[in-house]
Amino acid sequence: MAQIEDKTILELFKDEKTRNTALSQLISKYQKMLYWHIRKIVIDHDDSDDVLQNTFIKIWKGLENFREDSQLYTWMYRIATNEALTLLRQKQKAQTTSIHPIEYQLSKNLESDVYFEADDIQLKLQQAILTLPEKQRLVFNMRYYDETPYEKMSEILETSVGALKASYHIAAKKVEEFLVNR
Amino acid sequence: MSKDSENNNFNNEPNNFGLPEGYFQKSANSIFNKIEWIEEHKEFVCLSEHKNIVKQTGFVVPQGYFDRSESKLELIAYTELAKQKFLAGNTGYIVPKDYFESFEVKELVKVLIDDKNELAPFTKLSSIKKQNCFNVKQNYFSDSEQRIISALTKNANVISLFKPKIWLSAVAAVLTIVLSLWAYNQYFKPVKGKDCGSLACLDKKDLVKVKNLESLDNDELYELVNTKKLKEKLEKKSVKKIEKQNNDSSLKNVSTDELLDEI
Repeated sequence: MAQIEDKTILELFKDEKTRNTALSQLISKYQKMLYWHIRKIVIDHDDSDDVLQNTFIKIWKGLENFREDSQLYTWMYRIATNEALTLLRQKQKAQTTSIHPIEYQLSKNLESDVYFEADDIQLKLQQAILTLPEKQRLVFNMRYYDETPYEKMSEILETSVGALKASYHIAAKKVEEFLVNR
Repeated sequence: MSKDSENNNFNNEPNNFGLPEGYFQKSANSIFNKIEWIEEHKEFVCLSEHKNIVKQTGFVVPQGYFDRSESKLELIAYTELAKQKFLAGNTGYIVPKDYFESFEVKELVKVLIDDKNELAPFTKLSSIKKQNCFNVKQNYFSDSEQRIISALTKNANVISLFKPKIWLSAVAAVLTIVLSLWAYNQYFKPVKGKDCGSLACLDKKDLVKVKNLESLDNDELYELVNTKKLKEKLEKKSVKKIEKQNNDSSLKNVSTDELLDEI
């Protein structure tokens, strides 16, 4: 099925009668992309599911006030990123017994995750990514796995292209060091 | 350069040496000024002998201050240039020696310029096969689409607070609460203790009172009693007794037939 244009979705949304069609189109077009983006941040499938649902609720509520000076895609990614990071922060707050950052716990859980199928090197790569600071982790995932252009990344993360390039380079260097030395 | 007329020698012939404009005028002024100064300070021998004191104020500035300030002042006219200079240079941060020549920085610069081969320096990382190791349940996405839609449509139903049904039920709830409170107060009042004629009805306070009364002697009791009131009560009682006796006696005189007639 050919993917519907964002503009058409917005047009459908504006009309009360076709609003539900717009919702259905929006979800079928973006749910996978957003899910994988969220999953790489929060790691756990159930958490990703919750975040995805919250993301779509926020998107749906905010769509009425969406100004078309930015792309729908980047706006949705920004919401998804913020929701995922909020969940991680909430988890960090709720975690009273451990002094480690939440990423440490996520890294531990990864080994026993039934929805994670990877060989040793892939597991090590994920563990290496989880040692990165929040922003670098985001940049690394978006660039390494999704090959998101820096310009788009810049719109989503509201950071300059130069800073993103530097951030990715530093992140890749840290990951490389982790892979080589541990 | 000065005019040709100023730039002549004694023979009024032009030569090849140039002079600043108005040189002779300025130097004459300067000479006059000097003569004036000497004349003024004739009386002050000490001052005129050590005229250098005037120039040496005793104040000092950091070494190279005027050289630095000169470059700063020059930049006043060129604000953009000044911004660049201060942003780029004088941040106060220092870097290790030959930092900008190091391999890492060179690599970073290369990445900033060209991002096509950005993973090339990382041999281990670039040798790993790029794959998504995260899984989801079968049919997760089709199920989740339905779940999200139903959650959103549920969410979209905004309940209006101005529906008459809701107002009616709110009023009914308030009435029920008020009535039940009233009923509770009405029927579940704490029963005041009444004398039932048995020990079970005795209150602790009453017992204490009795004990206190027992310990009192006759004089004390007499003092406690209000004689006036007691007299009045006794009088009233005796009046009532007499009336009752009178009533009883009146009934004795009536025959049974008359009583039956009255009934």
